[in-house]
Amino acid sequence: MREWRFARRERSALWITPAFVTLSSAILAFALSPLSLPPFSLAPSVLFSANSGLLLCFACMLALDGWFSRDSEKEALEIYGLSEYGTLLFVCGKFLSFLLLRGIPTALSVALAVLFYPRLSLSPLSSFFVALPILCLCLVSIASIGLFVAALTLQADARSENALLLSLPLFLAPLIFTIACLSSSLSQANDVILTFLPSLLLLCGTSFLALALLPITAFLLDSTN
Amino acid sequence: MVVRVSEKFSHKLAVNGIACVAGGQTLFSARSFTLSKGEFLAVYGANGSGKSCLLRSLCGCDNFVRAGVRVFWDEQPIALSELAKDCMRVGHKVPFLASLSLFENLQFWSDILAAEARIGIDNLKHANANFALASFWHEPTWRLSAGQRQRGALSMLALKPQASLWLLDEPHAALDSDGRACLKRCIENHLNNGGMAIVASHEDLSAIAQHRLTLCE
Repeated sequence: MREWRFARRERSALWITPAFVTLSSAILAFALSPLSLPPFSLAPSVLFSANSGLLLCFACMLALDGWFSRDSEKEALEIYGLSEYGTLLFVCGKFLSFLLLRGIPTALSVALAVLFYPRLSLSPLSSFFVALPILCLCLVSIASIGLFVAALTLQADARSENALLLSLPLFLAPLIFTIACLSSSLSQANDVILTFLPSLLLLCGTSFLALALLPITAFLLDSTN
Repeated sequence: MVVRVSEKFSHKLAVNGIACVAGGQTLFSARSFTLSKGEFLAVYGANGSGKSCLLRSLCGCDNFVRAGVRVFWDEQPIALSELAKDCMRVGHKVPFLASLSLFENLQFWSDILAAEARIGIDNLKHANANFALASFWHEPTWRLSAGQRQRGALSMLALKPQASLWLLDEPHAALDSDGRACLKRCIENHLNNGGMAIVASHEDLSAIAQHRLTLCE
């Protein structure tokens, strides 16, 4: 509730991520077709899926940066430690608020972009309802990993910025499986590496494993105090 | 003014050999003190002498503490991190989001700190009454003066009534005479109920402090 109130008052927090996705899609699409041909007809399915997945990933990563810094600067993290619930409840609250305030609008933006792609193997509406849950699953992984990275960056001043760089590959696994799911389910291309069901199962497994990072994030925040 | 009478506390705290290190430098070494119920420890020291580090260490942020400190709570040895359950700290910074009102910020913290939701609502009312926050209760925090924010921060002490040990880091900063009177009343009520307080300050607290600890650079 506090994060929702804050996002509403700040106003920019709710629309900035979909705006970033839209702007990046437009820039990348026109960059691919300098002759101003319809961009989506030129993009092969894998590239479009990768584009969507990458944009989702980058948008989420940008949104997650500094997710704990505001609380750390105001010594709020120490007060969480004084409560009976501890820091884990705070991390779970941040996770849910990120999913609801930033993640779902981003997933909706990317899934809506699918409607304009002409080479879909399903109808546009079906494609939307297939893409949306896949993107939401990816978001669970990215949110968990992103919060872990945000907790690491709080310690970066004391340790090393290498910690941040070393953790970026953690995003690759959910990204790869998301692209595989989207490609296999939506595109007409024959160059899919994995079929839909194995890639979906791998994405689900990655998301569940990523959730295990939440208690580790809470531990990192406690050790930052 | 509403005076909140909580259940009586009856605890004793003994800290032996506490030393703090920050940024590779020893701020102070081998300090010991004892507090019984109703007692007040005033901590003095120059800027950078480790007053804030001492208070943060006592509420479980023991990254600053050298090994070898022994803490006894009711004459039973405990780890510093276990003291967090029984203490409440108000530090330099006000943990409020600027775009939310004082009421919304305190409501959030009362939900976090109170043992039960029903008690949290009562605690909010006491927080409001103790520091006379009514006139700016619903103002966004960014509009408040430093003194008003400090009153709001100090009112958080009422949000964790189960805390017998108060750790206050320069609580008088930015307070006017009215605010200082409210703070004095709150501390006296807490001590009368058997609570303990450790206050780091540059003010002269000899009138109410039974113990004094001076940290040197």
